[in-house]
Amino acid sequence: MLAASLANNSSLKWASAIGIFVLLCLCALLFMLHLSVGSKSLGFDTVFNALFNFDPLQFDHVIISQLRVPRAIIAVMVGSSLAVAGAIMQGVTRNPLASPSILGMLSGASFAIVISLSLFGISSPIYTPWIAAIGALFAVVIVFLICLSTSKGINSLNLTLSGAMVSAFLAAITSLFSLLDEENYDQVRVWLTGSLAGNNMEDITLILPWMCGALFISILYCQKITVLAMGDQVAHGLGIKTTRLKFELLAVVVTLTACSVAIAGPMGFVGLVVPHIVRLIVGSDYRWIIPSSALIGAIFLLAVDIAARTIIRPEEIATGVITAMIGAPLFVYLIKMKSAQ
Amino acid sequence: MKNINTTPDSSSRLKASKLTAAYGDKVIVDNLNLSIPSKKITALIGPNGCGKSTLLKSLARVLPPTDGSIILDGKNILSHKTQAVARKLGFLPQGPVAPEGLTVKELVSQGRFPHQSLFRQWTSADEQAVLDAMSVAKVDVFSELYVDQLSGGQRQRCWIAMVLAQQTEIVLLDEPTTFLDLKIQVELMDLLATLTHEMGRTLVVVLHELNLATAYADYLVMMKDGEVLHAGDPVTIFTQKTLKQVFDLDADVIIDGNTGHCLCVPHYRYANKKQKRLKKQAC
Repeated sequence: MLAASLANNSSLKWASAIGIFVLLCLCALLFMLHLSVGSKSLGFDTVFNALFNFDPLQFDHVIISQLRVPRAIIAVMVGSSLAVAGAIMQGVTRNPLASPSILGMLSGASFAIVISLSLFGISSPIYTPWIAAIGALFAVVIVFLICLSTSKGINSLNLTLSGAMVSAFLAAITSLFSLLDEENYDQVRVWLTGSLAGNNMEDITLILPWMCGALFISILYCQKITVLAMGDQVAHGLGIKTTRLKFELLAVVVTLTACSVAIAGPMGFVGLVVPHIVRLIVGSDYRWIIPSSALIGAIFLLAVDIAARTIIRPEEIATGVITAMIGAPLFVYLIKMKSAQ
Repeated sequence: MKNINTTPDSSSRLKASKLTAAYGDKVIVDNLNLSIPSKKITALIGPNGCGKSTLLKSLARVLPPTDGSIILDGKNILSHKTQAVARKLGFLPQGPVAPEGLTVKELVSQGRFPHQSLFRQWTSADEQAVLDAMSVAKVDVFSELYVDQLSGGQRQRCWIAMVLAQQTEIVLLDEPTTFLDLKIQVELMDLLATLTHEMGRTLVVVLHELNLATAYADYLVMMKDGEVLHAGDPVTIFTQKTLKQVFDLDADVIIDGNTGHCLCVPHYRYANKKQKRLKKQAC
């Protein structure tokens, strides 16, 4: 019995480790594919040479290193960040519907960016992440205040409902401002639907360290999140300072969300759908959920962006449109599958 | 009249001293003193809202007192590191809910959290503690099943296994038997009794079932309106008079001839009338 259960456990660990390795390979493969497709298709050999044997005189190499590599990196980072942010939020609130979009953080961040652009003319990439962070924090604080003001307090239904309301309200004001202010609206129109285009390496390097830091902290905290997901009192009994941990995780989630919105706009559904897929595969242990979410989030957004750039080639569709078009039916399917269990 | 058990018990590791606990402005527990006897089962009973759960949460340092203190090993519990407390004292709240898709073994493994750190990850001692806890609580047979697929009694045993895996000398449980069938309740109480009498753990249990409390408690604490009215051996303090005083319940207390346990038999007014009527008809 003992030996059997030990063997079982270690074989499970092997399976999970192999799973992570397969995901890593898939991610690398999609990254290469992402670099090769676009308005002009380039062969894998060109991609390979551009990466490892760069020749500044070859136009294709320049396209890859100047345009496509930044975009692919953004797809990976934004996909990972939003998926991990969603996974953390679902664990902390014990609400499977929590995600940066549903709790109003995406609308909050884009609201703040549009307002600061319209009213103060701030569009520098140095400030946008900070403005986005303030907006995201503002929205999520309002959502929690609304919940606290009701008699039932913070529960799944209240969180989801007030999140949807705050989201809709902030999105309406964002539209109002962007409609009144046509000149600036042109700048943000595509970005507001969620787009990975139009960023250069300098913009990314401003944000990348923050995202990597927040992702790293998420992985350090994953065991605590598992304990916290068992409920406040149980977690407290096991020696976790629950209030402090929640504030720390809020900071992580705000960082991940704000950085994502600052470079790619409010990209919906990634933070909701990916953690759900992940939990179906790996269960409820956040030591597996967090790294898997990061990888599957990256894979999801790479794949979606490949679709966005190939469907109506040589034109391209804003990536956020496709994440919603794929994410929404996928989510309905996941709910159906779960209720069938 | 208030012969409250402030008798200093030198072996006691956990004490409430002039404890006042409140939710907002509402004071639930008022200036309460209590020493938990070591290596015994202490049962907290009292009517709904009397503060027994609040007292337990304070003892578990989950609810900070508004006044007074909880003393663990001679020191205010809040001045210990919370993770260090979790290695001495386990706490199971009322009606815990496991997240979906967590297996029994994963749940029980969380009990090892206080023994781990970033630099001290899973060891064979942790593995052994989890296996032992699962076998004592008899959940080892379904260690790979999901907790949310199990019955209420099995689920409660998983949670108890989690607290056992914590390997603390003191274990606090809030209504572990509520909503379970009587047979399951008795099985759970037997499990808890094993922990105390064979493994030397100190247990504090909030209970609703009076007869279970008197049968299993070594030390019975009767609470009302945030105060301890009586505390001691069930046989001496659990009487018709104290039941009326604490619960406002009209009941006889009889001693079971076989076991020597006190049994509470409420005066079921309507049912007793019906019995008399039936007797008359028989005559």
